Amino acid sequence: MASWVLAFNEQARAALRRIDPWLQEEILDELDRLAQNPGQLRRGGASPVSIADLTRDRDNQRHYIFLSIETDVSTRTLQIIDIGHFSRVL
Amino acid sequence: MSALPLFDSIFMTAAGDAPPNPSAIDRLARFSQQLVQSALTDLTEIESLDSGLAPPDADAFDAHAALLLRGMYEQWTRDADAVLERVAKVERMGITVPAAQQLRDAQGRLLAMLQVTLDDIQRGRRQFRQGRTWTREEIRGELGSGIQ
Repeated sequence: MASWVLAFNEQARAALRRIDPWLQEEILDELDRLAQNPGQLRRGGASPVSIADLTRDRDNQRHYIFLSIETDVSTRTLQIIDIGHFSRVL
Repeated sequence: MSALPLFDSIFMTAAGDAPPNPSAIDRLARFSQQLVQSALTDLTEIESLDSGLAPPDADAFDAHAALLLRGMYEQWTRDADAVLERVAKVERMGITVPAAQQLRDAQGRLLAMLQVTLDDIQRGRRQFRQGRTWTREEIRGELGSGIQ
C-alpha cells in the first residue's frame, strides 16, 4: 500500500521551525510512519482533528510532542494542522 | 484536589518525626500512591467523556463542548501539578511512589496538547482551505542540511 501524502500549513511549518533540529527530525520521522499507516492516528475526542503524540529524551530533558492532523481521504493526504511541544527536566 | 490538605497533614507527621517513624513513613508512601492513582483515574474519566463527544465529521464538531473539555484538561493539569509537587517532596525522602512517572508523562503530554488551542486548529484548517501548503520534501529541504 502506497504511503499517504504529508502536507503542512504555515502554522505547522512555523511550529516545527521553533523546535530543535534533532527533534524536528524525530517529528518528521514520526509523520513518515503515520503516512505509511494512518490507522495509527487517534480521534481527537471532541476536537475536529485526529491526533498523535511522541515522547523523546535528550540531555536530561523529556520532550512531549503533540500533533494535530486532519485526514483528507479523497487525496490520501495527512494535513498537519499544528504541533504542540512541552519539555521538562528528567 | 480535595485530598491535598490530608496529604499535607500526613506528610508533616511523617517528616517531622525524628527518628523517622516507620509506620508514618509507610502511611505517607501509601497515601502518595493513592493520590497519584486518583489523579490518573480523574484523567481517564475526562478522556472518556472527551471520546464520547467525538463528532461524526470535522465540520460537525461542538465548539462549546470542546472548549469546556479543554477547561477540564487545564484544571486537571493544575491538579496534577499540585500532586506532583507533593510527590517530589516524598521522593526526596527516599520513598518511591509507583506511577509517579506515569503521572508526569500524562501531564507532559497534556501540556503539549494544550499548546494547540481550538483557535489554532480552526486557523490551521482555514490555512489548508485558503493558502499555501508545503510538501514533506519542501519542509525537509528548508529545515536544513541536518535533516535528510
